[in-house]
Amino acid sequence: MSKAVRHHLALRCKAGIVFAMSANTPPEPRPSMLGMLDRVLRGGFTQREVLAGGRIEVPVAGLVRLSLLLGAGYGISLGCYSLFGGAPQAWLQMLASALKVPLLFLLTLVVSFPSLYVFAALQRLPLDFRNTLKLMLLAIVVHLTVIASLGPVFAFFAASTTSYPFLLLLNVAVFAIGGLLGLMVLRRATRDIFTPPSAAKTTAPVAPPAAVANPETTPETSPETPATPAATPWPATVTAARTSHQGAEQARRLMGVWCCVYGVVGAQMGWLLRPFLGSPDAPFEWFRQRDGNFLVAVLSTIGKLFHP
Amino acid sequence: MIFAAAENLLRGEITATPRPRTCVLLGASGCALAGLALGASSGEWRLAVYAAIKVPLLIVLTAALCLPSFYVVNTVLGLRDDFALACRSLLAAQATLGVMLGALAPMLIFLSLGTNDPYAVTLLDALQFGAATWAAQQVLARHYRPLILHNPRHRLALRGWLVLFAFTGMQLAWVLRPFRGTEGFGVQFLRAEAFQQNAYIVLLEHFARLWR
Repeated sequence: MSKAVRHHLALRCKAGIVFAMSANTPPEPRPSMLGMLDRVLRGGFTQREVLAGGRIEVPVAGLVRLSLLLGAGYGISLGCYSLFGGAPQAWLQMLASALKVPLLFLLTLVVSFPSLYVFAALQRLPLDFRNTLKLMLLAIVVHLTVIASLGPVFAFFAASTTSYPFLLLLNVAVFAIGGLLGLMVLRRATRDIFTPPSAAKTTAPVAPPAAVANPETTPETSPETPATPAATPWPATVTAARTSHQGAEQARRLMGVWCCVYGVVGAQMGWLLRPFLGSPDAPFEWFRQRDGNFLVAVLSTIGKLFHP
Repeated sequence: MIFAAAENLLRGEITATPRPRTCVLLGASGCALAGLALGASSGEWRLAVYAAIKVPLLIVLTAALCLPSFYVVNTVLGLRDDFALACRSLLAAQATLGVMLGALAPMLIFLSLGTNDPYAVTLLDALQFGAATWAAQQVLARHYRPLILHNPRHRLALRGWLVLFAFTGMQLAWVLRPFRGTEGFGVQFLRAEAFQQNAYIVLLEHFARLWR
């Protein structure tokens, strides 16, 4: 071993000892998958105080693994339709569905995220590219958890009905319910991001309207009340309330755009990646020919329920 | 003792609600009694036994299918700390449903013996389940009131549960037919087409026939 290498190893060793000595507290144990999922669902990663710093600290790799598992879980319940229907390549369809559900979310995110980020930046969302992506990932995990939790219900219906249009619509409904809850989490988080904690804390005791309307009782002119240092003529509570209101308005606007973009891309992506269920009248295929679109297909499926 | 527990459940305050094990026992025995009455009305003892198994099974399986999503929805809505209480409330409601079904069983037998019209009998069944559901709703509302006062989001979670439970329960009830014997079908635990049909499609087809 050369002298230089020995010197390098000694330095690394010393650095390790110094690092170990400086770390007084033992390293935190890695959270389990379920623990992480629980924290996501409880909003542990999107608390107002954490978001105020403009950073979202989430274990990205763990969440991606979790998303894959949850998506595959729901995909398997989709594949139950082929399995219980006695389709010749049912296991293949089950595998295809288990792969396609996570793929659907991944590809939707890849396609829509650039525009989502641009809209977020236009609305002055105080999150950078990386943290906006993490926020989206959290919403996707919530969406996937909800649909995976509805998986047993879907599998039961798949086992007990042969109506293909009914199950198609049920699948759309499950995705929609998951999407709504995912959006709810996203909306709560964006509102908290736009509304700083100080504004949120001071919005509760909003000054009564009479106090604002009457100039004699405003802080600037009242002899009992010291003048507010701010340049604005409004009391601090009212300013905070306005800030909070503006934050909510900004969040609402951003969510509207995000909803449209993500919803349209997601629906069409689902249409491109079909079949997820596998039609009982058609042989197994990984993908179908590109024709039509999601909305037309849903309307035509509703029609088929009445005129099979 | 079981009667005292049933009375506590129906009449008492939330604090007097029987223990979970007692609730399960009450609900299951009431449902079994109702199933026995449904099956016995056809005069076939095997059908009575089958139905006595299937009615409790209907409630238990529906709850088991819906609980995972109820858990997730509660967690997402920030209601996880109250989840145990929410489950106790649902259990009390299910027990009430069973008790009410069981209590109505003798009347159902008496009324169904007086008619041969299958539509009238079906209507009686619907009335029995409707009355039991109403009673369960009363108990559920009483148990959920403090939870909703504590956090109004409980109302949303509860509505979600009710919709999902009814949606899944209806299909499961369709799968678990027959509860009451039908002429020409013989005695069977499940019908041959149990896993082929969909209750909602059948309902839609019935409505469509009305318009034609």
